Amino acid sequence: MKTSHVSLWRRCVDWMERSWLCSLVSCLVLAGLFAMAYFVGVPWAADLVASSISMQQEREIGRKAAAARFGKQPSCLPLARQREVETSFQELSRGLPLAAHYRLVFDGAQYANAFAFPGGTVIVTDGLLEKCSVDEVAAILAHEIGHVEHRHGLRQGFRSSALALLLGTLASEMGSVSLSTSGLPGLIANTRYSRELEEEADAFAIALLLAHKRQPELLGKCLQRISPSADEPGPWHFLSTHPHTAARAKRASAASSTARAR
Amino acid sequence: MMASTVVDASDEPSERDTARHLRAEFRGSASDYFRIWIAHMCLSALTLGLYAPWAAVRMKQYLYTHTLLDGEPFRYDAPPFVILIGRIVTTGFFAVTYGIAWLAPQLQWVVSLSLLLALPAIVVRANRFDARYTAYRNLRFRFAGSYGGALGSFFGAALLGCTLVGLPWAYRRVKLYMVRQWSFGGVRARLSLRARRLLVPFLIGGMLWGAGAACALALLVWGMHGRELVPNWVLPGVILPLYLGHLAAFSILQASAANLVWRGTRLGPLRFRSTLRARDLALLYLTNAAAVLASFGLLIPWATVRLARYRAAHLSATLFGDWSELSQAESTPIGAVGSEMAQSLFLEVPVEP
Repeated sequence: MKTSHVSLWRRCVDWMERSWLCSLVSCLVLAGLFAMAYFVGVPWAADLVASSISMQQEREIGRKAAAARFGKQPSCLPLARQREVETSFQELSRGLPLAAHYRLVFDGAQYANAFAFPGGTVIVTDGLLEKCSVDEVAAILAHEIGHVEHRHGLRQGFRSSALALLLGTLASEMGSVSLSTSGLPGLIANTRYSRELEEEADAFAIALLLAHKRQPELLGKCLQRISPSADEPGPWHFLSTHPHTAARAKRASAASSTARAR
Repeated sequence: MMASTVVDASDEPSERDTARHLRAEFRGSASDYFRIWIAHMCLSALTLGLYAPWAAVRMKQYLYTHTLLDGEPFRYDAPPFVILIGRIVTTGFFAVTYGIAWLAPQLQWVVSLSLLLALPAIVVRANRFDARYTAYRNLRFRFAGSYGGALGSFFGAALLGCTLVGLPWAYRRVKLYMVRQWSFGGVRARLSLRARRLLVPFLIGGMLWGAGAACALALLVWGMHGRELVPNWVLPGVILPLYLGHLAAFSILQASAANLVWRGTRLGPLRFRSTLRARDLALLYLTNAAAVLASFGLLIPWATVRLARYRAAHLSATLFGDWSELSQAESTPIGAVGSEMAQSLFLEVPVEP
């Protein structure tokens, strides 16, 4: 009885190994499974792991990461201006679930940018404060607060790890010729996750600004000033970690005009 | 590829009369291998990896049985179930390592150190597994290495390698130990290797690698100069020269090292001749990588077959005397944990015939 089962299985595998139809079906099945893993499995698993990390641990991770990258160059801006920005930051973060954890740090870097680290540390550079008005900076800070509230730092970290694990396993199972062939697609595939989280932070920022009777379109104006872009995404856009600036600005100003119409 | 040009067998003039040239060739076809590969990949994915050991054995079997030396195929018959157990143990080990790194980062050095100390054992066990289940003309291969011997040779090689100039000697030390542990049909392999002949390939390889890295760095500096945000093309722009430098260095080293090792190896009545060329290998690797990337991995079987075909076409052996010198040695089953660990750690195991 057992031997007939074995020979039946053998014959089945034998047919699968010869049939081009089976090859085609296999391709489709593999593509479907991969798409499921990429769009659903990896984000789900990463969020599951992220939710098991306590806020205290997250703060520790964020503090270390922020200290490694910033803090060497203290801000040179007048204290009065720093206080203005600090006040609007506190106003925006007040009442949010993670309100107790926020910490704003001014950094002396000359380029214009802001960063959110896991656990509530938000960094703004002198460059940003010089180029933009206090209200515009507040709009950018609302975006960074969105990153913190949605725990994007941790979630993106776990997504990259899970994706690297998935692609590495796949490459070694498939007998890929060299390591580099799994590294590059991994980097590209990762940027889509990053853009998705940036869009989530934008949506959060727009809602938060509207709730505080502020203009979401300031976010778009500020973005276009610090990273000017063409109207259409260029050929390298698929490598970008952020959504296209013009599209982000359009969404922000659309939110402003609907709010005004109401 | 002619018998008359093969090796200097001056020490055994009597055997020269009976010398016979054995051609190696790979007869697999990309289309057959593709269909086998995709079917087994699909089964592995649908069973969430449980079927993967059976798939891996089947694929290796195809490659081995289509590699012929003197018209006779190689055989591979590792038990998939043993591989499955090896994989489960390996996965468990890495899960524990990962857990320790997360929960007790201060203990991480203990894990790293024990993994480093286990490395020789992993390499030895992996070679033993592959040798045990590889056969040719019904004669099995065997790997006799021990943990102590491998540890000694790796440690010595690490010391030599630290000096950079000593890299050829480090390579020689590891190769001498590893190759001499292989036996076929009860006869140990012998290897003589002059490290000095590897000095120039290592030097050229190092320079090419450095040139690639320098180009990448220059592009990075130029791309970021005076910009607040890194332009998107910088990433591929930096990866490409790095990859090309690595590819060129790797091809040169692989070609010259493989040629030297094969030429210096004696396995009972067998001597070998390898004629790999660095630029052929580099072109092959480059086109393979481009094809695999552009096809989302679907051309992996084609790339594998091309490489196997090239390698086999540039390898030949000479038989002095006849096969009767070799005999079947007894063999015992071997676990696959070492082999699976080696695969997860990307340690190359020299199994290619």
